[in-house]
Amino acid sequence: MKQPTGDIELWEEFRNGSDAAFARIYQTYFRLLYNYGCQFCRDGELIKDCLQNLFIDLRRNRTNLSVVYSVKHYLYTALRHKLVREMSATRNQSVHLPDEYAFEIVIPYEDQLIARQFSAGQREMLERALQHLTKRQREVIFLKFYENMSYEEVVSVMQLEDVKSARNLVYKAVRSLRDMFLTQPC
Amino acid sequence: MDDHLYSAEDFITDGHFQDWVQNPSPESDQYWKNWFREHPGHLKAAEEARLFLRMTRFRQYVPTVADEAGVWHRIGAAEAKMVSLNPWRTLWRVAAGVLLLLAAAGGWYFYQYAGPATVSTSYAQTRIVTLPDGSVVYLNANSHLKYNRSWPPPHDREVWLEGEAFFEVTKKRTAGGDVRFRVHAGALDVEVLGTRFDVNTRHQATRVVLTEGKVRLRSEDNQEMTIKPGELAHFHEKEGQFRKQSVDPEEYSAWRENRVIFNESTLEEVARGLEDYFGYQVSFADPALRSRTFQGTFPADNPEVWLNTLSRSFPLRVDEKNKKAVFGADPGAEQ
Repeated sequence: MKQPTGDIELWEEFRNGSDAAFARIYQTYFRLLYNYGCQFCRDGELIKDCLQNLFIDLRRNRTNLSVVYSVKHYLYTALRHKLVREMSATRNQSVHLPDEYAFEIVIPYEDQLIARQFSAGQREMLERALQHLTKRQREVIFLKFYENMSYEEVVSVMQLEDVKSARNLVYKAVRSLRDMFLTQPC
Repeated sequence: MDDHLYSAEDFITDGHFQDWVQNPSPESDQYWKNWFREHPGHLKAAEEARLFLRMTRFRQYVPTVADEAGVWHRIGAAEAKMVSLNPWRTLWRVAAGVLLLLAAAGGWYFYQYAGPATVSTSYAQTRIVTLPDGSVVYLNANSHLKYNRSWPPPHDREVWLEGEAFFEVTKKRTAGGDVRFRVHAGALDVEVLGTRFDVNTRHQATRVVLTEGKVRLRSEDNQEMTIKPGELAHFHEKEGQFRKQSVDPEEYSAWRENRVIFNESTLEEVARGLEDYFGYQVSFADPALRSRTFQGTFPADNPEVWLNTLSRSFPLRVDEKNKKAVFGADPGAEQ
């Protein structure tokens, strides 16, 4: 997995009491975490509250924190946990996104490869095919390909059974897309 | 990857393949070209995989800089409030707890409000900083701002800048008169009372562009110059001289809205932008290209858009992995 160099060292400095390291962790991950949170829910305030509590907890528990091998994976797991709990606690329906808007995939038409390969009609079909992916399939794809996490990390962030089930989600997603679209003559 | 028949899924889940699709480099291009020459049967599956990886882009949400600063502030405030949250049972514990927390809060307070502060940005990142007097600084990518967290009234307000920043300075008045605000920027000191302006200290020169108000510039050897809104002052360290010209100040602060504007700029200036904003190393194989002009607006956080656009109008070779770009045709090219 790709990770910013020095992440582990930064974490160690933070555990040893460095406020500067804490600030650097915040600067490095705030935007990424915010983006991840928005994939679940459009309520920016709720996401910011969760992020605030996440970092407050982090600072309070600094002496009890364990050594981590991926800071990113630790923070994503913590945010997802908080967000899911908050969202299930609230009765406010506007917080809940209809499934099709969670982890929404936008087709990058400006991408030259895509522009070359697809006619207007095919694009429509492609969009329909993408809608058939489940929310969980899209989340795995997000974490695995977009955030470059390993399968082990994906399993722990999403609390899946094992690596095999994460892999299966990806395989199924690819296969359903391919069956619906990619094998059609271009 | 070894031999047997691979499906698109196999390619998609192969880290090496993924990396090539998302961040191709001349080396990985070569590697996969060779691989497909030896394994032509896999080409179709690989093409499907490539398409899949390129298609799966997620909608992106970017918090405002104010969001980021606001949450950070609340995290700091929560530390000071910990006293009321702590559960305690006996008076002894209360006393010990209060003492301990006061010390902790005091430490946080000192760190947060009194000690020296340095705020830095990495490439393709901007931040908003609120100074102790309420003045606001927009810090551009790859820049550093240093200041003291506490500014007792009679003294000048002072900050040190490396890189580029836009200042919105509040007017501050005491019994003794207006309090000056001073930016130490490269070889220059910029002195103001209350105003809005952009300061850039890159490439052994300091450039100040004024949007509103009035500023006075002073060099290390005590040369002085004042500028008015809509004027740009330029001080080159080697020449040791001021130059002044009229400009549209908006063009010089558009980076705050994530835009970088090139208006009749030379490719050399655009190349400098790639260096300043993203840390690219740009060279010219064909020196004549340096002075070619370019007109356009780019996002301040996405080098790909810059490189794609430029490569359509100029011969440009890019090595994304090592952040290198060369203007000019490749002399070693086969065609």
